[in-house]
Amino acid sequence: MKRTFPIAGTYVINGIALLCLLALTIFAAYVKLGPFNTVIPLLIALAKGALIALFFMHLRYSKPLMWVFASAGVFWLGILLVLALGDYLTRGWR
Amino acid sequence: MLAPTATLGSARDSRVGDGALAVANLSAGAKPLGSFQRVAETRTGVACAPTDPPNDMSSATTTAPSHLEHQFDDAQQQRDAATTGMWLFLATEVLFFGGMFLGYTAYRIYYPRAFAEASRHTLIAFGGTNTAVLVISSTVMAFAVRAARENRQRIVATLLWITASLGMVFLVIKGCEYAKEISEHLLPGRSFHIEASDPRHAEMFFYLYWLMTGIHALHVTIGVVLITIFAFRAWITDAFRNHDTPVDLLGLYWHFVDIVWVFLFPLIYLVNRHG
Amino acid sequence: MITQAPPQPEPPLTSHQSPLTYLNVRHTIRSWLLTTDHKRIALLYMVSITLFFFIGGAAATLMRLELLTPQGDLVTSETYNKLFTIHGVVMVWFFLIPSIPTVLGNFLLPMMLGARDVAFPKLNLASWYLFMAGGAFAVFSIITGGVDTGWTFYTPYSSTYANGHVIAMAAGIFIAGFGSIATGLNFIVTTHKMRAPGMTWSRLPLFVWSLYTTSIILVLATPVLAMVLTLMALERAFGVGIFNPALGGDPLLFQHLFWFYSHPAVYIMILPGMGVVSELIPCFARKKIFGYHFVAYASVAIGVLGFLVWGHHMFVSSQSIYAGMIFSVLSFMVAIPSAIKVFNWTATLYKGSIWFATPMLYALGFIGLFTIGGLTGLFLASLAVDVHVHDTYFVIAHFHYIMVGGMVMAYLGGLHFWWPKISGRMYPEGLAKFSAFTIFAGFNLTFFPQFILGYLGMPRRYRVYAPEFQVLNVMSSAGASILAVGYLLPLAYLLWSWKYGKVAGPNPWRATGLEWTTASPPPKDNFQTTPIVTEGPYDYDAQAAEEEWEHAHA
Repeated sequence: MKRTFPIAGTYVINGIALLCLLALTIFAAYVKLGPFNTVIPLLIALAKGALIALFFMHLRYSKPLMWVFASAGVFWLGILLVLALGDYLTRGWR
Repeated sequence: MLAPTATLGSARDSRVGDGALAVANLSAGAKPLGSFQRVAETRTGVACAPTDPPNDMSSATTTAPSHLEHQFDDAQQQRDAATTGMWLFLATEVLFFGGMFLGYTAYRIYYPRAFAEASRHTLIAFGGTNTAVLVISSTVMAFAVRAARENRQRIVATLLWITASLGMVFLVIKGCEYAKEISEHLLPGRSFHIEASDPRHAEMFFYLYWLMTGIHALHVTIGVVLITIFAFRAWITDAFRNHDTPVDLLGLYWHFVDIVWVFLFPLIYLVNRHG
Repeated sequence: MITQAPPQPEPPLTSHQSPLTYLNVRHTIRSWLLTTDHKRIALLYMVSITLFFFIGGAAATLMRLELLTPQGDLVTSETYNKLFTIHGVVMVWFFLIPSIPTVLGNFLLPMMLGARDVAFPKLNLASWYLFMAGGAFAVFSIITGGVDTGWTFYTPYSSTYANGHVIAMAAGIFIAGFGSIATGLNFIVTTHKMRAPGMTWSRLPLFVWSLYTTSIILVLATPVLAMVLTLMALERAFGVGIFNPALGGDPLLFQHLFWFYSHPAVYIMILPGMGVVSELIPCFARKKIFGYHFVAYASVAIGVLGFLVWGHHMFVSSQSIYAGMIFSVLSFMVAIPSAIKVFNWTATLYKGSIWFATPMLYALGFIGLFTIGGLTGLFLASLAVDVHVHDTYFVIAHFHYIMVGGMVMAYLGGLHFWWPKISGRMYPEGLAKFSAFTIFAGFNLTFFPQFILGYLGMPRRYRVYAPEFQVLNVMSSAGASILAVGYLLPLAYLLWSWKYGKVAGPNPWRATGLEWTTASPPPKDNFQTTPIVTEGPYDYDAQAAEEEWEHAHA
């Protein structure tokens, strides 16, 4: 199988994009945005993580099986968080 | 379900006993599964048979047969297995960090004020710089993996050294940050002291901070050590010539460490900067 | 499953000319301790887990002796606490979790796939060393004073008040856990990447499906256990942490994280057993498995659903009642794939040509006992009933029906079934049948009274109990002694047969499956030539078997 890799420029652009997102998230943290002060940094972190996984880790160019394994960890972490927080968030309900 | 791989007609047919039978059988009954295609070969007790001539690099893969372990049929299978294994290991790592993330999330939901106040005691200059350092090191690592694929050993070594140095810079910055925090009594335990409305849960924030960054720093340290070893091997030996899988896997690990930090950064430093 | 040669009573494989097997290829101790051969690693595991089984069994024996009388007259309360902790920790992490995956799985997975070895043989050996290192920590902790927390290590007791070497024990489990992760990772990659030509997913033996699912659980759940034990140990060592209410923490967070691992771990313990039974039933009913895909996907469904139900261990904690309801409903859902399996095994038996060889006895025992264990699990998954029977002997009986009645039966069944392949020798059939019946009888006598005890309200983890419970407790202890005999017998005759048993030949059961196409014991690389698979597993013919039997006995 021919292993496809991105051209060198992709890495540079990706690195720059990550640094820009870093600047953006720090900037956003100092602006009063209400609940978005919690959401935006997390969304930016997700975007950064996705960029690293897709381009630096070549997930974008990998077989579906790698996508499955890469998402498995995240999905199971989601199970842990959702069900456990399901307890924490509803304990006060009466 | 997988993409087709190297065809049976590759150079390794030279050591095949009755490959024709295998092909016939495959087309007759079995549904060939790309990467699992194998040829029936006579085993002689020798683990692997690197009998191919050294200039035999014409096949689609880049790994020399001498790196082939006996349980694999071809380099493609070996590479696929190794890469799959690494991704699974990273999935394990996600869950390993996951326990701490759950603790963090639950307490942050329960004690938002304490976490916000505590977070403002963290040193964003250190954290921000470190994020940039790791991102840059990741970019360099991506180029190192690329150079390894192109068999440019000197460049691989150089880029790996740069990556390892950036990792060291990260650790030094982190160490300075830790030292400063200890001097400010922000290490949980007897000496912990913080001016906050709910010092007990502020301490909990700092416990999670030390724990998560500590375990992350442990991963960075392991990464730096491995990268340095790999850099020396690439410089001195021919270990990665036509065999770039290890560098590839090292890259995956290093990028993963970067991703973890990308998530830790906002959770620790950016909880409440605007208030 | 057809390979190059059609199945024959005595397949004339070329290995007969070369008696070089994985066992006699080298003889030095070093060749065993540094082996990367999956079959030898399986034997290393077999010896180790047998040792741990008898350590855990010894603790259980002392407990049952203490419980003969209502007074606490044999051991002190503290010792009793340590005994049930040792029993739990050793049996769960050093016997049940490794049992079928690392012994039978290691031995068979590559052969069932038609591969020479697992994908990462060195990692496989490393797993064993991690397991042994973890075991060493656990044994150290037992010898130097033990641990009295129970196998669950609940905080804040474990992190503040508990006596003994909690940290050493936790370290042992942590290290052995990484061995488990490595094994799981190895198995997943092996299943994906090492299959022989033609071995499609729907031609995989069902044992492989269940091992695959087990491995997913090992890889994704064990790291959470590692983390939660680390947190507990840090809290104990430094007095800082997130679980102790005195520190502003929530003890339930520990339980959430612990059961996120430990409930799926129950499925680590039962799924491989189901896989073994799925192999035994078709072979000894001489029938194709009924509903192959349902059984295969039921394994995966159990594995995934198993991650969604951990809160049912926390019904009487201060967990939110709403979360409790969700967890209760999800727990009930696990019954669906489990029942699918039981029904499909039963349907496979229907109109089969049933052969009551020892492995089949174990398999049938498994089905019955697992069904009882599974159905009583539904009692416990009901919020209201659980309040009544929580932390009583009902729970003990329930999970022993799954763990011992299920997994240990399946392990022994599988061990007998593949013993000719592993050792090249047959075990003595009469003695084996006797011990299978002994185990079945002893098991039920031990644990069925415990259902009643629990329902009547006898709490677990106490050495002193009300006098009216004595009759049932004496029955239980008597059963345990029968069970002990049942377990010692196979140990004796299997060891005997290793040297003196009848030579088995490649396929004494005339079973399908790639592992039976090679010599017994197999050569170092499993197969003389890489097999080519053209059919699914379980290509049995019940009618032909019946006719053959009539012909032979005419």
